[in-house]
Amino acid sequence: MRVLDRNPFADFPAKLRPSQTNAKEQWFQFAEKIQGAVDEVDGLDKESQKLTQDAVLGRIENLHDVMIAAEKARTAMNLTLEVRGKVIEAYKEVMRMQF
Amino acid sequence: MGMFHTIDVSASGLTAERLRMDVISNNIANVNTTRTEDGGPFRRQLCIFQARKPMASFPLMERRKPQVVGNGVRVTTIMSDQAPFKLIYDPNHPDADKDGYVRMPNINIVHEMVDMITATRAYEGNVSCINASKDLFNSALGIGARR
Amino acid sequence: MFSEITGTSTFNLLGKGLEVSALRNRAIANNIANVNTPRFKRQIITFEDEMAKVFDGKVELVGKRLDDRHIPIEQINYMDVRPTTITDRAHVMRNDKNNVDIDVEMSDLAKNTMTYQVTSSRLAALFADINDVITRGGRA
Repeated sequence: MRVLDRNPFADFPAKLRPSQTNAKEQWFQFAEKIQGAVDEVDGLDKESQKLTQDAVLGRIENLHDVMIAAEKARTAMNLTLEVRGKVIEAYKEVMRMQF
Repeated sequence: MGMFHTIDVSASGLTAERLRMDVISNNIANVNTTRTEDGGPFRRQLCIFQARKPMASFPLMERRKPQVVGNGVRVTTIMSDQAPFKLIYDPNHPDADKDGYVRMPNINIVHEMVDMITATRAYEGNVSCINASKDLFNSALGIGARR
Repeated sequence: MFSEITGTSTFNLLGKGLEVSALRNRAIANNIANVNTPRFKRQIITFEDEMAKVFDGKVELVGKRLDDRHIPIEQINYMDVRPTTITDRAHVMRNDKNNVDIDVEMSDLAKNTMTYQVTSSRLAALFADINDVITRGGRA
């Protein structure tokens, strides 16, 4: 049997099968996801800053609200930075390929 | 209301109990005072405590509104106890009346001592509350700590 | 994307636990401050029993809708459970009609403080774990 007679992905469950869109669309989807994540990080960061300001101005009810918001923002930022690092690494890897 | 509102509540308790202690000490110090500025023996004083209501609460709506935690305590007035003076038979006393009776302050030492113990215990309770609140804040600050 | 990290039921329960413990601390402080106030009745916070029932899905509250304008009552989401402040109007022996027992309040205070410390410590560990995974999980 020749290597690619059968579609190797035919037996995969639907979720794992790669979608049939072309590379450009896939790139746009990925970029949208990244943009969405960056917007979320921005939102969390703004919320954390607002609560910190409220803490200084004496407007908050519970200290743990401030701490939780700060931690959420920090975790989200951490995740985004790691993902950014990986994406850049992947890009560099691709650019290094010799054809 | 601020994140230290709980400490404010406990502080109001401390203030009230300390004021009560002052009044009790004054009563005990004057247990034998037969002459005061207004004439007559010293009258026992007592503090009237009242719970502070949470802000902006309307008495008519109290029962139907969801409950809110209260706001601490306050001493509204320091009243004179209108109980009658004690009459002690002592004809040789300079303040004795024509029948030989001296009017003594209406202060019962045992009663005052019991009040003093109650006030001290309440004061200690409020101090424990403030320490507990401090513990809570320190725990919350630890949320961001790294292992 | 982040709601899957910070929106888990553990995370939400820990957050609610902190909120309830802080409120309970306030109620106990008020009770102790008013231990000598005549006619004062102690307040307690209830939350855990109701939350346990809702979380396990045992609340079967189905409302009849007789009119289209009636708001439907469906299964309660566990995130909507709120702590309730209840005034304890138990019968008292004291002459001043105050029903605060300082020993009960002090023991409640100790329990509540420890509960808060446990909750915040677990939450801190949860965040630390997540950050560990993020930072070191991608390395070989």
